[in-house]
Amino acid sequence: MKKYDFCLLALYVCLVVVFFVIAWGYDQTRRQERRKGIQYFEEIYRTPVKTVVFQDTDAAIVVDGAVQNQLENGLEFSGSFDVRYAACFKISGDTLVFSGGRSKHDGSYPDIRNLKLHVTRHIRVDTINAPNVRIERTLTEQDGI
Amino acid sequence: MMKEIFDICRFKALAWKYYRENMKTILIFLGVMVVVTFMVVCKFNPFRMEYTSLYTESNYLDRYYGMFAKIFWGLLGFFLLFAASYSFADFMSGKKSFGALLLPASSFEKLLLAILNSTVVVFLLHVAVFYSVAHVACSYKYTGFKEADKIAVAESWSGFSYPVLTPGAEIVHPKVGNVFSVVDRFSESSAYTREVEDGTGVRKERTVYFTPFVVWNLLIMYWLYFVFVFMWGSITFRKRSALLTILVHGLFFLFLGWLVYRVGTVFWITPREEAMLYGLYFYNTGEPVPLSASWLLLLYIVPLTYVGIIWKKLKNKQV
Repeated sequence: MKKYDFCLLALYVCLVVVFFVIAWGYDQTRRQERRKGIQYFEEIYRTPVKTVVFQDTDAAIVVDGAVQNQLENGLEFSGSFDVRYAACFKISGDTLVFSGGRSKHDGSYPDIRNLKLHVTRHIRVDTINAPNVRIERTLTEQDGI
Repeated sequence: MMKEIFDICRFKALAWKYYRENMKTILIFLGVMVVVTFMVVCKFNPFRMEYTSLYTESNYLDRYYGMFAKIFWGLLGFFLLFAASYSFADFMSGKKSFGALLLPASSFEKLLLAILNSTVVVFLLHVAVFYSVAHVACSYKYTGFKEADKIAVAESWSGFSYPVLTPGAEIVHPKVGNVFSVVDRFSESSAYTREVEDGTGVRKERTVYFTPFVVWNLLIMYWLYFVFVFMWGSITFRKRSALLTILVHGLFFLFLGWLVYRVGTVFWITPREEAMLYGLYFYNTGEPVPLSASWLLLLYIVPLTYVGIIWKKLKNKQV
């Protein structure tokens, strides 16, 4: 082994460093996306919501009743959620509207498919052209009886 | 000190001298290539015939195409390893090194000859040997026939059984095919999709391919890398260069892998608060993969660095 062989060592170390830099940049982008998504949901949790509307979406979301949520505005999400679709939630006044989210793989399964919404009885849930949204809470809960 | 210039006449004389003096070794190497290729193509038993009853002819031919392509590329690597490992044997040997180093040719010319021998010459020889030997093997070893043409099964003197066919029955021998079409097959199968935004902000899925140009370059790059690594070993270690090259590189890559793993696990553990909000887990599926794999061509720097270091070492030896 001569001094020139250390150039090879340096080359491999440089390649590893470049790999780390690229991977770190990639990781930071993902973290930033997730942070943005979390902020979006924090904003939703802070807003007093009276109605949730699922409109023109093929997202598979289960709406379940809840006696009391740990959040003040009475709605809480569970499951898993792709942060790319955070912008599908929009707040207008006291209504939370979910629309968009398209199917891929020829519509064999929707992109949003493991999301559950727990709502207390004072929140009304409506669906308009949302075939995969399943409301599991009872009619009495929906009507506030 | 000799000037580092390239003179075609001197290079021709050097090549001529090299081939004339090493003719015996070259012929032995060629013989080994023929025997090894023949044995591998015949699955190490050239006396045992293989009969396949055909249902669809195309499947039969396709199956052999895959086998021959694997054998071709595998054996090429095997022969390149030996050729590259012995490329500077004269310069490292105690008896021959003076003669080799004092030859009136520049170190660049000597390096170029060694590179050509370990890359182009071995490759061309291998193509010629492989196609000839595989063609011979196919003509008698592998036979396909239609099941309806079989009358009975007979036993040969060497112990294997073979079908007795109706007179005039149609038989098929597999063809070696174009072993280089793996590039097209790979580029077709290596497509991946990613979501891109068009000018209007609409996200669409786009299919990205490793184009044949990129795949060809990756293949050449890997080929050169493989050869230069063993050439580096040849000029670095006096004895057992192939073994020591594999050992040194293997240990070094193991260390690098361990380092990447250790550093990666420290840096890329996502804290809970960055992935969860109460009961909801957030994940990303958007992958910022580049639209083209052409950036991989930058990796040419690796074989080029090796060849640069080999040249520098050869020059130093010459001095």
